[in-house]
Amino acid sequence: MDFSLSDEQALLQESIARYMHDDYPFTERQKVVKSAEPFSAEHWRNFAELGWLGVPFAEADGGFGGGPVESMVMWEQFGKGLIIEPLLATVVLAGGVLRLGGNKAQKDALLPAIIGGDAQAALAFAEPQGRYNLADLTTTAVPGNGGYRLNGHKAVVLNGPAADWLVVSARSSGAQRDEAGISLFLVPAGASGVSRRDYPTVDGFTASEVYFADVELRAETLIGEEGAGRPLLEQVIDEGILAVGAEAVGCMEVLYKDTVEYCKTRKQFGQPIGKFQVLQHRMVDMFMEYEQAKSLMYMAAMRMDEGYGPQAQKAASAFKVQVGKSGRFVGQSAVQLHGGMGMTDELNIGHYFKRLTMIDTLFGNVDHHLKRFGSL
Amino acid sequence: MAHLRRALAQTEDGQGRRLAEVAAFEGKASALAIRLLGLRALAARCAAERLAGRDPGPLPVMLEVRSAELQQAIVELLVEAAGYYGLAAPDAVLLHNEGRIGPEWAAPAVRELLDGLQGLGPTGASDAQGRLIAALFEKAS
Repeated sequence: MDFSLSDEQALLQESIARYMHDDYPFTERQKVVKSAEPFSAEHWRNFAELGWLGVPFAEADGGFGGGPVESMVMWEQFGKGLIIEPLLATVVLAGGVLRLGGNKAQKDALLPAIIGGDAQAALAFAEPQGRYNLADLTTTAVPGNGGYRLNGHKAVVLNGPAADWLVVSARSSGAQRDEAGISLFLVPAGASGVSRRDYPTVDGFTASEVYFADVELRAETLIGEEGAGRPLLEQVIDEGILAVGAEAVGCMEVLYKDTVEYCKTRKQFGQPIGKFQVLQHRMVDMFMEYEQAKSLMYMAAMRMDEGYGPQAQKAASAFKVQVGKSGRFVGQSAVQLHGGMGMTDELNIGHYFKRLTMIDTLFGNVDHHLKRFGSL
Repeated sequence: MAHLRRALAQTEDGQGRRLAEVAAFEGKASALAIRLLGLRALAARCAAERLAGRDPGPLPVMLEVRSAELQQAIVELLVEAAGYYGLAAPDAVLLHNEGRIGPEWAAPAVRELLDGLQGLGPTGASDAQGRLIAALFEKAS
């Protein structure tokens, strides 16, 4: 097995790492989190100019044709920087559905704007009763009059407040939890009948509850085939798992390294607390959890690179389980070893911990993916 | 625990069942209930020793440590039960002027989860209490 990166991948990794280190300081991030803006428009523009928003899209669509390995490389660095710009929602999730299932007209209409940093999008897939089941949908898209009529409520739509476009999963046929009969639609966020309640998330992002009341959709808003949206949605969610999992690995690296540094300098009873054996053991465990998660990150990226199917799905679930367990241990340990200041707003530690906690929930937690892994 | 049981009885699992009917959740809730029973028994022993005019030794400190850990474990399971609504920032959601977002117990649980963590583990309050127990051992020997 060869785990080395190609020259292009190494260059991508280096350019993001440099940007995160030089141009994305934690204090600036916190200013944006506390402001009324959902993210930094300046950073978003820079991300577009640097080509990062176009990496996963095909060259024919104006992108760079990157795959799972490029995604892994990018997101690990974004995790270290703890970015709050909505790449996940716009590029990986909503952009992912269009990349995999959109027709030429849909791609032409939206992908250049996404890649250029001029459009924001969100994937509205979760519902209040549905937990992590992508097929548990009460939102309906009833065919008629040459289009569809959309009704329902989508929960915790990441980037909902900023989105110009919503990619929405809805039931066009079948019963509430049927695997078949799910369709995906590209809906303008400002369409008549669409309303939102916006709120921040624990980790500094924004989300919305989105309500659809008799929203009239034209037939050409359907993405892919009617009733066949479930497999497409699952693939995009697995790509999201690779992205946020790699992000978590980046977060864990920062946490264990910062904790080791802190324990070398913080003194108690006349010596650095890192001299205490009980703390040394905890830090060794943090390191091992981080490395274990990183190993499964490589495995998941390689399986997905070989082609999407049951092996890739299984690897994605295994990675998500490990990220959930390791992220919890590393995050909690970092906070606890930093003592009372671990969760203060000024120190980055608590913010990485919050992001790791939220990543465990995103796209299904440990229990959900243990069950999925066993069923594949 | 009663709060947790109510939350599990109200929340769906995405397959049409309530979380209280899902074996994984039921098992975790029962394990927490057993820990709570153990703490009640421990509290009763502490009280009995005091009432008999004897020093209960390290038991009250142990009660404090284990109670804090159990409290944290309960809110962790509540947040897990909240699913995606565990992502919502609790202050913003609690103060939302258009009414609550998600189940009413989710936002307070997230707040407690974030607030309670730092007291646990090495260097936290439970560590200080652990040292106290160790000191009581030394005193007794």
